[in-house]
Amino acid sequence: MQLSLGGRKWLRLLVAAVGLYMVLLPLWWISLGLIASAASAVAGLIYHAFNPLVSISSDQTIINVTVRASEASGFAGQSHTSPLRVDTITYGLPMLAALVIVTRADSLKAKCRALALGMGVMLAFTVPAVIIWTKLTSLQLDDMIARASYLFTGDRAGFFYYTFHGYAFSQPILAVALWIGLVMLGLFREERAPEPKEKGKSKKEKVNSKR
Amino acid sequence: MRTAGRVYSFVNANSKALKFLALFAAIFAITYFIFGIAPGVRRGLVQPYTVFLADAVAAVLNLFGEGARTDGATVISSRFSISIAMGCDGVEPMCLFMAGVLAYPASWRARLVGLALGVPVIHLINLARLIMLYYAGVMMPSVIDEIHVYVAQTIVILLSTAILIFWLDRFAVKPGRT
Repeated sequence: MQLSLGGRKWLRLLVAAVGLYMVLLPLWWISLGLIASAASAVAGLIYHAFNPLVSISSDQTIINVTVRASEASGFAGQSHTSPLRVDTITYGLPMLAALVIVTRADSLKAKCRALALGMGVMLAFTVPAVIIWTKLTSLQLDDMIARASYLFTGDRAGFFYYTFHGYAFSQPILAVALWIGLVMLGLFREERAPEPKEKGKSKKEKVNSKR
Repeated sequence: MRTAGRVYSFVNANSKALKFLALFAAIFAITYFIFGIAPGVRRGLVQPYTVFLADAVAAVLNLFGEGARTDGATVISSRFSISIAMGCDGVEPMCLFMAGVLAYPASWRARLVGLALGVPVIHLINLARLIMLYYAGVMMPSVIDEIHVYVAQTIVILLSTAILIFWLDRFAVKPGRT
């Protein structure tokens, strides 16, 4: 398994990662609006296909999830909106970027590839995070309706929020897990083409084989 | 067909790493469920631990003359108060470390050494984080939320990762094995 982080230099690299993380934080903060609109558009498209009573929209760095009560619930026309701060579901991005940048790679190309893949996966995770938040909002509305109908049997939304942790599965954990994955899968190594069979033979052998 | 072939060869070439990553994710999920979510464990073990943490934070702060007292898992002083809630208990970095140690193909002796040394160190780092957060709240109350979420949490997770790599480097990876 590939675990080499540059010998005993790994501790220095991690200290550098903390410093670089601080530098990257403002860049991430600036890009939050763009991430919010992209994540809300994709999550809205997916969720709306299954539940047309849900609408997801972005307002700068906030994603607003609105769920309307169905006709069958007896509360048609009622709706519940829950705002999701995009920073809480993306703050692992600068950490992953910092970890990837300080990790020794065979080439700049390999490092860029690892960075692009890591960022892509991390950004893709924002979509399920928004979908889970939407489900949470939907459960909150269900709980409210149940409470109003005297059918309340438990706090399903509360348990869901507890699982979600409010910070989308702890972003730094996700960032570290992805970084370990990138290192172990050899993404920091240069892809080497298989050597041609003839290359191993000496000049004498080649001459002999021609005869 | 060509893509399937490439996926097959990738999986074949990285089977050990993929096995580690799958185990890592599974063990993290299980340990996080046990210590972070399961209501019985939270009520019976984690919540009393947060009360103990609050007492420890107050004791350290009082060494520096802060005049802190506790009310359950809340540390109260005239200058600033902190509440040790879910996520502040060190469970996540501990689960990350445990998942790394248990998933890596090392001897059980090396794993036990890792857990026995690493888990207490992670909780000490978390205690230091809580004390730092208190002083950050005293000195910079307007940005305490940002420091709490974006700085303190990230640094604890990075330090837990450093301990995991230290363990891999010194105890888990045998010479000549990469």
